[in-house]
Amino acid sequence: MGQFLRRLAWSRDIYLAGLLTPAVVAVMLILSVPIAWLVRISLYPQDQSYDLSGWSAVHYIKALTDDLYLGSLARTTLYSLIVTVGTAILGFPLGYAAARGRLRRWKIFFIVLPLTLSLIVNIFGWIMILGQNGLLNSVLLSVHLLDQPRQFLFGVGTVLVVLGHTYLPFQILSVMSVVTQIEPMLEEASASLRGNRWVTFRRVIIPLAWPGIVAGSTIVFILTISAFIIPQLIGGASVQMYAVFVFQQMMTVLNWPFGASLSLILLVVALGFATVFRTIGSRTEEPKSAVAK
Amino acid sequence: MSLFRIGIYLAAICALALPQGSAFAQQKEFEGTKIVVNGFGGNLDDVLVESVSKPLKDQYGITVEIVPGSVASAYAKAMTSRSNPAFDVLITDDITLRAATKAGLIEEVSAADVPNMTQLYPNFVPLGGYGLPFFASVCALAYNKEHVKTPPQALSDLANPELKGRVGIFNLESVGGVVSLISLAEANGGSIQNLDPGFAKLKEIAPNLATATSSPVEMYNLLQRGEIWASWFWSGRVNALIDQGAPLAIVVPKEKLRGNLDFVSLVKGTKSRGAALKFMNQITSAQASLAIARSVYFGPTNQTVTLPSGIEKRVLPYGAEMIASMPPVDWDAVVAKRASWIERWNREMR
Repeated sequence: MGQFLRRLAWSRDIYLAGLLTPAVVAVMLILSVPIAWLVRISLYPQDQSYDLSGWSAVHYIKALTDDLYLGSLARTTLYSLIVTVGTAILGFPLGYAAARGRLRRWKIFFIVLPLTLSLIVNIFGWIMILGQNGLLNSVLLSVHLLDQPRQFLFGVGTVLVVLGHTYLPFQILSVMSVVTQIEPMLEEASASLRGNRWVTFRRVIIPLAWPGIVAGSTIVFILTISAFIIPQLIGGASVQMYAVFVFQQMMTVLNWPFGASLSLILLVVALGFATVFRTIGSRTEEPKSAVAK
Repeated sequence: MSLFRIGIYLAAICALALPQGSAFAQQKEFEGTKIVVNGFGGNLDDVLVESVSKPLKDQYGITVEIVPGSVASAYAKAMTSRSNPAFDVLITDDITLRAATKAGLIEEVSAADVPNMTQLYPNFVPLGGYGLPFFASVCALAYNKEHVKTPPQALSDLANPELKGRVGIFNLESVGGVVSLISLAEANGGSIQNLDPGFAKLKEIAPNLATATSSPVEMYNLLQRGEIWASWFWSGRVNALIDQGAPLAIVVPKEKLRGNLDFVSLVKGTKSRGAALKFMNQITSAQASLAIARSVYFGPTNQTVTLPSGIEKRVLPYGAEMIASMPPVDWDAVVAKRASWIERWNREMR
């Protein structure tokens, strides 16, 4: 009997491995190979894109000791955390509302709609709203909140708002998919045990929705920390996000080894935070599984 | 005997003339050959299709595929596909041309391969057959006539307090920013080896900056919407804005005109060398040069082009005299030092 079960489990493993193979092969090819190539490139001592040979960590040393790049990395991480927390705070109620009640299909449609727009269109849309001749200024001027147009574009604040707006749908969808699976009866049970709305929210909804919030936050964080078009176009002359430096080195200066080092440092930081998020996510999941038992 | 001979001659002449006279009887020279070239996207690619791809299709049966994108990304793609080239002809600018030549990515061509090469302005052919220029663009001053009371005459005039928050410039990621910085330095006692005076002027302009970008599309948009009132920008693009009714004017800055050439280069290892050479010959022809000047106002590189009076004054650079007066740019120095300039900009300008 035991042997039979073991064999059954074994054949199930083979079956699952078979299902996984195409995806694993694809990921190996399209992700691992380029990353391995990037690692190799980052270890060349030269400052160019051709005649590369030898081994050196000189580019990593520069990236990790120079104030310009370290400062930018710190600021980029901080901006990404701000955007992540912001989208979590804004995205949770939206995701919750979208998961409950009627017309869910339409709600999903409107949440996903902004993602179908090209990022560039989105950015130029923001320029039209926030510019000195833009919508926001004309409204503020007409209600006399301003005497003369103010420049809302080209600053850190604007970059964070636009990043948050662009990536908010990922947070909403992630929260939504988890909240849909929470039995509304649990909320009613909480109410019947005299839990008021706040207690229900804090002790029932948030803990159960936590994995969704953490997953959404991870996605938003990774997208934000690697953003470069938005800071480049909306940031103007003053915002220095890390991915912009990567782009500069790879595409303009053609110093591929240094660009590769910067991009791998960014990758490690992003993955590091993703791991931290995962730990946070699984820690608060425990009470839930205890309840389930 | 002589009659017999004449008969043979006649037959020979007929045999030679016949296939050329009747196109349907013979295949075109490169029928079925496809070549891949990187492009820019937008209007410029439309002009290239009209003035280069179509004639090549009609005359030789060559199909040209233009892949839009940036010159830098095409260079990266070409560099990583050397054993099986992604492009047959690579369009490069002054900087990528040097890098591609040094990297051994491209093959030198001669006037025997590309006859139109002899018609190009000699000082527009810095690396001989490695890169043939097909248009010239210059970074000039543009200002909004409705908002700017004292029109800027020099690049350094963008520091005028009247323009606070209304100036947009190219940063050093754009070649336009690089040549402007060199102009600022040279006009103020510096040189390409000593850019300190240029950076000093940039710092004077900095408080006026709304943005410093590398994106021509963004600059175009901001000028069009009146978000910025003055900038250094490609004169061809400003002309396009003027045609659309934007109240803009172009000024040749006191610091002199500097700019950038766009080249075509033959990619080493291309499997369609013959067709690629035909493409290079067509794109450097007077016909294509004129078409580019007419529609996007970039300067012709073919000396035999005469521009119609309507656009003769608007296209920069144009004419032997103006082209001879443009100071040369030491692009090797630019390639060697740009990384440090960009880093300096990143430290000082933000």
